Amino acid sequence: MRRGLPHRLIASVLLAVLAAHPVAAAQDTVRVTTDTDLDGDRVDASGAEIADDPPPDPGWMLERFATRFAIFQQDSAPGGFQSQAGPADRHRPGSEQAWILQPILYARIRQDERVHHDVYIPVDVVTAASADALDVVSSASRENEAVSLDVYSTYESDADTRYTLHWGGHIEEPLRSATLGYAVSRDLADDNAVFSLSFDGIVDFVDQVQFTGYDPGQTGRFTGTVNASLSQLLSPTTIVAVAYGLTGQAGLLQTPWNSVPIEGGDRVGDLFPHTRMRHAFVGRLAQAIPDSRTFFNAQYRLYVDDFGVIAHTPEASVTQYLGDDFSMRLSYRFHTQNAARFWTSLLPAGYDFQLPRTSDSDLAALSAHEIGGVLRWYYDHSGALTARSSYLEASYYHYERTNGLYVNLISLGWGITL
Amino acid sequence: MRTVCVVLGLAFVLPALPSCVIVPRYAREWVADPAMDSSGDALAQRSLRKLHGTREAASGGDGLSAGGGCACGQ
Repeated sequence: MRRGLPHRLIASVLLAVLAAHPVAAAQDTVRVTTDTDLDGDRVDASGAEIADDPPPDPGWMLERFATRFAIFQQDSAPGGFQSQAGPADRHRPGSEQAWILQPILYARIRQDERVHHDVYIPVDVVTAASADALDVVSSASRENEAVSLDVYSTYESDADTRYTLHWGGHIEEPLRSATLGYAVSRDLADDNAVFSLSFDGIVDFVDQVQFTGYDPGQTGRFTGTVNASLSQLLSPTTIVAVAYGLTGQAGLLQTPWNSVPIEGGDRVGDLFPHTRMRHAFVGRLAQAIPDSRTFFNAQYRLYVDDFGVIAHTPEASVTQYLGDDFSMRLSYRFHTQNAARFWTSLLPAGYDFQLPRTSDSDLAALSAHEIGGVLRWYYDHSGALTARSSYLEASYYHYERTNGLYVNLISLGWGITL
Repeated sequence: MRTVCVVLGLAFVLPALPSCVIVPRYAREWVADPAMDSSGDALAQRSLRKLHGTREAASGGDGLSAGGGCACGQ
């Protein structure tokens, strides 16, 4: 027995080695295929680099959500000549008083790594809509609700190129509307410049409710727009941008229930040309001052159209961070325009009613001033210098025109990143 | 129309002149701040666009349509 022990021991060791060999070989294989080279890249047994596994697709997910509730309080003195809501003298301007409640929802929904959707749902509730004078002949517009759906579906084909499909619709009492558009945006010069080009088409179906209350039925209006923009970094703290927008419109362009006083005491409905071409040029400069965490923005817009309107709109704002959790933004905007060539406050007797006319105060010669302030609280711990911080904000704007109309706008906003 | 073409040409040519300045990615902390966007956030921009677009005869140049889509617009 004692002489046989070494043989059995040797045999057991040999069997154990033979049995263990495949496992060891398999372990060697695993070890080789998951090895890394000196750069930290995964390599196979031959030393060739192995591509990383694609990340798991998280599927549809909500990335951002924001909501804003705004209240517009509008009034004017002496009012607008287009309005019948006001003094008994039909030659005098009528009331333009109105309240507008405007909640709006926004969500960014990511479909996959390359596709996301920006969804906007604005709602307008206009109370005492006497600005459109319909309350004189009907109560139909005493409360007017409108809701829109506006979606931008963006596909990122590579790190520098994005394609966006813009689609949506709008419903309100006298109107149905549909929008379809397409845009491409391309980063240039190592992302130092961005060029964007977009096309949009809007089809409106409008009730032709006259200032007398008579409704001859629906009619259409088409609006087509081409926009091009280019932004460029000039330094680590400076951005300059330019943009041009061309809009062409055809169909019923006047507000059908607006009217114009006629010499002698009567009124006649607005009449616009059936087409309108509109050009807008915008230049913008943004400058950061890192030492004080202050940001300046200045913008100028030149507007020209074939109604004879030329407008200049400069505006400026300054944003100041207050610690890591607050920012404050103050803004000023000035707008000046001449009147449309067919604007009048009183048509002479014997006027040719085939010719265009309006007394809408929005198309008169006017200047407008607007001041505004926004206070925002970034309540998460990402700090104020991140675009995706969650926030609460409050804002106030006062807008006032030289022809008497003014608007106070108060809003509360909330945004979160999920 | 000639004036429109000249303004359009200048608007896109002039900003391209200093485009040889390349700001490296690591130096873009300040230009990436949301405060560099004059319009503030998109929701505020929509409210103000509505305020101006329905009370003035001029709009556009902001990537969207100048008119259409709302009965109270010009």
